[in-house]
Amino acid sequence: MEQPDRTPKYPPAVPCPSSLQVCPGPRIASVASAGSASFASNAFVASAGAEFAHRSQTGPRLAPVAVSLIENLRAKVRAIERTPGTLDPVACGPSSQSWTLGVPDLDAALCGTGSSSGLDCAALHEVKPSVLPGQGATASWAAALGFSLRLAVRRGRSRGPIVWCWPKAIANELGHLYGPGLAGLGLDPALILFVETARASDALWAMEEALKSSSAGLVMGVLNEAGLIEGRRLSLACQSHVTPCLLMTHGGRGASSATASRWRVGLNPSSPHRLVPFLPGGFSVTASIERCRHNPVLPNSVPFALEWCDETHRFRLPAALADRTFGCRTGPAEGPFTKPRLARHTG
Amino acid sequence: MADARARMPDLIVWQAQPAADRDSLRRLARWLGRYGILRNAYGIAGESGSGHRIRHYGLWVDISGVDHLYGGEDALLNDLGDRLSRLGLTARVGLADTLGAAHALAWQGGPSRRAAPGDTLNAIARLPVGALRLDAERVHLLHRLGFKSIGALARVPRLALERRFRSANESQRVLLRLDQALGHIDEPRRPLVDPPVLSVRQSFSEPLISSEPLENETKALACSFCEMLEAQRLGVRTMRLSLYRCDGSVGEVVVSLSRAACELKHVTGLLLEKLSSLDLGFGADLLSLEALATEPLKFHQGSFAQGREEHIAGLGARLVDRLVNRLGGDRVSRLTPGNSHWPECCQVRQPALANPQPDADERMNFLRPSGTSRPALLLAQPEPILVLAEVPEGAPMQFTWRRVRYSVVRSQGPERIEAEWWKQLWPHSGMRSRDYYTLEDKSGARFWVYRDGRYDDETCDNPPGWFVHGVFA
Repeated sequence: MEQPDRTPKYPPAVPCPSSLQVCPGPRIASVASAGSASFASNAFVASAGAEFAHRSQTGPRLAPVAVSLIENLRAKVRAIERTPGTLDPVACGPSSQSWTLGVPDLDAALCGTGSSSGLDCAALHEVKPSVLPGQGATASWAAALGFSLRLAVRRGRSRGPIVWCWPKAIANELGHLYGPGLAGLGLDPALILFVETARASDALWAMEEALKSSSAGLVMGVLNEAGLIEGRRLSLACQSHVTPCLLMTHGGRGASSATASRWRVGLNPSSPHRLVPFLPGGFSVTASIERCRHNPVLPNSVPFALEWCDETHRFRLPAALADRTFGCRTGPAEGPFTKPRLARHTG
Repeated sequence: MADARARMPDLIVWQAQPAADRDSLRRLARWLGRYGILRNAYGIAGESGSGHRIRHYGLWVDISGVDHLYGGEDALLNDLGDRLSRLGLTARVGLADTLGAAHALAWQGGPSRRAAPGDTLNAIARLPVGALRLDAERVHLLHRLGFKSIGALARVPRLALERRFRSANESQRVLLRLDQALGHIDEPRRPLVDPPVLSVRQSFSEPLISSEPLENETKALACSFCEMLEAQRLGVRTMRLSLYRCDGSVGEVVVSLSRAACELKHVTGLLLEKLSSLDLGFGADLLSLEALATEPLKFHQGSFAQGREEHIAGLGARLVDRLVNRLGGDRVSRLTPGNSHWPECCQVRQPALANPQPDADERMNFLRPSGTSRPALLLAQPEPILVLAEVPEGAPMQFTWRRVRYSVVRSQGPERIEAEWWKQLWPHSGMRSRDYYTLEDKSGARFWVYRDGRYDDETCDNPPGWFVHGVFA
C-alpha cells in the first residue's frame, strides 16, 4: 500500500452502519490525519462517502469499470440491508412498494435520487401540526390527524391492517375515531386495530411490537412528544421489518434526527365546494417539509398548499392563480345569512 | 361462658368466623390441585348458623391415576399429611373409592385410613354410623335401634330397615348416605374448576425463590406443553399457569389467545410476559400449565397469494395476543357497525381478542346516508357550547368551545337525525331530534355541531341546546 491511507480510526459506536460499508481498505489509522483531535466523529460519518468518492477518483490503480462494478455491488448490498427478509415471500410482497402522495413533482422530490417515488415505506415519518395563535389544540390536532389519515388512504387497503396506537389521555381529549367518518375518507374501519394505552410509553411499546410483527400495513401513533431514543427505536424497527410508521406528535421538538421525514401541517380554509360556494369544501392543508432524509435540500423549500380530492383519493397542488391584472374581479361569494334573527343560548 | 371461665381461667376465646373458614378451605382446595385436578371443598356451601347441627365438611381431591407419581397411595397420603402438617394444619386424611367412604375413613378411621379399591365395605364396616354424614338426631335413632357400626347397618335388609323408621323420607336419607358411601349411588361432585383439556406440571425438590429459574422452568414447561398440543393437533385458546407456593397459596395467571396456536415461541413469550405479575412469596415448589380451551388446528394451503394473506393474518393474531397480554383485553379493540343510525350507536368497539380478523364478507357496512359528511373523530360525550345562531332555524355564526371562540365562515346543514320511534315513545328518554351542522371556522377547522331539539317545539319545556359532537380531520 504505497498510497497513504487517510482513513482515520473509527470511534467504537458510530451510529450509522451503512456508512461503515463505504470505506474500503485496511482500517489502520495513520498518524497524519487520525491524530487531529478536531476530527469530530459525526462529521466524519457524514463525509465518509464523499471521501471515498474522492479517493476513487484520485486512486490511480482502479479502472473505471472496476469502480462501477464496486458501486453496483455496494448498491446491491445496501438494498439487501434495507430489506433483511428478502428471501421471505412476505417481505417481497407489495408492502415494499411505493407510497406516494399523488403529486408527481412532490413524490419525485421526496425520494431524492432513488428509483422509487414517494415516501419511504421502511421508515418512520413524523407529522406535526403547526399551532396558530388563538386556535384550540383540538383544531390543530385535526390538521395532523387529517393529513396522516389521508396518507393512510394513499397507502392502500391491500397492504394489511392499520394499527392505531395512542394513550388514553389524548383519546379522551380528541374523541375516538369514528367509523362512518373513516369510511367517508376511504379507509376501511374494520381493518384498523385500535390500541388505547394508559401511558405514552405503552403506546410506543405497542407501536414497536406492531412494527416487529410484520403484519401491519401501516402503524400510526398519536403522542404528545417522542424523544430521540424512541424515534430511533421505531425507525430501526421500521427498517428491519419494512413497515412504515406515521407518528403524530404535538410537541415542539423531538425525534428530530431519527425520522425519515418530518412534516409540519397546518389547516387551510377548505377548497371551494364543487357546486355551492358557501359550503365547506375539500380538505386542504399548508404543508412544509422540515426534514427529508433522502433529499436534504427539500426542507429549504417554502411551505406549499395541498388539497385532498375525495373522488380520486390523492393530493393535488392547487392550481396557481393567473395573472389577473387585466381581468375583472368578482366579489366573494355571499353567505347564506341575510338578516338573521339572533339567539344566544348556553348549551 | 362465665361458667367456662370459672372452671378454666386461662381459657382463650375466639369468635367463630364461618366466612373466613370457608375462604381458607377454598384456598386450601385450590392448593390441593397439586394432587389432582378435580378437587373442591364440600359441605361448606349454604352453611347458615344452625348451631346444633353436626357439620360434615372437608376437602376432596380426585387422585385417579396420580398415585403412581408418588409411589403408591400410601406414599401419597403420607406426602399429603406431611405437607399439611408443615403448613401448620392438623388434618385427617382418608382414601376410598367414594367420597362418603373417604369421609368416614378420614373422620373415624384411626390407623387404617385407606380402603383398597373395590373393598370399600370391609374398610368402613367397623366404623360407627356417625361417620356417614348423618344428623345427630338420626345417629341417635340408629344407636337406639342397635346399629353401632356401618357394617351392621349394611347387613340389614333394606325393607326391614325402612320399616323401622318413622317415615320413608327418614329412611331414605339414611340409606342414601349409606349407598353413597358404598358406591351404589353416584354422588355428584362439583370440582372447583373445570378440568383442563390437558395439563403439564413440574415439581421441584427445592422451592424456586428467584425469578430466573422460574423463567427457565416456565420455558421447559411450555416446551413440553407445546409438544403435547402438537401431538394432538390442537391449538390452545386459553391457558393457565399456576404456581403452588410453599405456604399453601396458589398464584395463577390466565392467558387468552385470539386464535388457536401451538407455537412454542409465541406461547413462551406470552407466558414470560405474565410472569412478572406472579409473586413467588416464600418459594414455589410446583408449577403447572393447563390448557383450558383448545381448538383443533386447521392446516390448509391455499394458493400462493392466499397463503401470504393467511400468513399475515396469523401474524396479526399473534400481535393482538401480545398486546392484550400486556395491556389488557379492553385496550385493544376493533370497530364494528352498530345497528342504528343514531350517531353514538352506529359503531361499536369490540375487544379484538374476541373477533380476531374480520372476513371479507363481514366487512362492516357503516350506515352513512350518501351526500352527508361524518367526522373522523367523535367525542366521547357531546360537549355543550355557547353559540350565536339564527332562530328558529339556522347555523351558528360563532361559537365558543373549550374556551376558544370560533367564528364560522362556512356551514352546511341542517341534517336532522331522530332517534328510533320506539326510543322516542319512552316518555322520559329525553331524546329529541338533533339538527346537525358542519361548521368551518376561519382557520379551516371543521366541527360537527348539533342543536338538541327545536326552537318551535311547543311540547318541550327546555330550550334547545347546542353541542359539539365531532371534529373533522
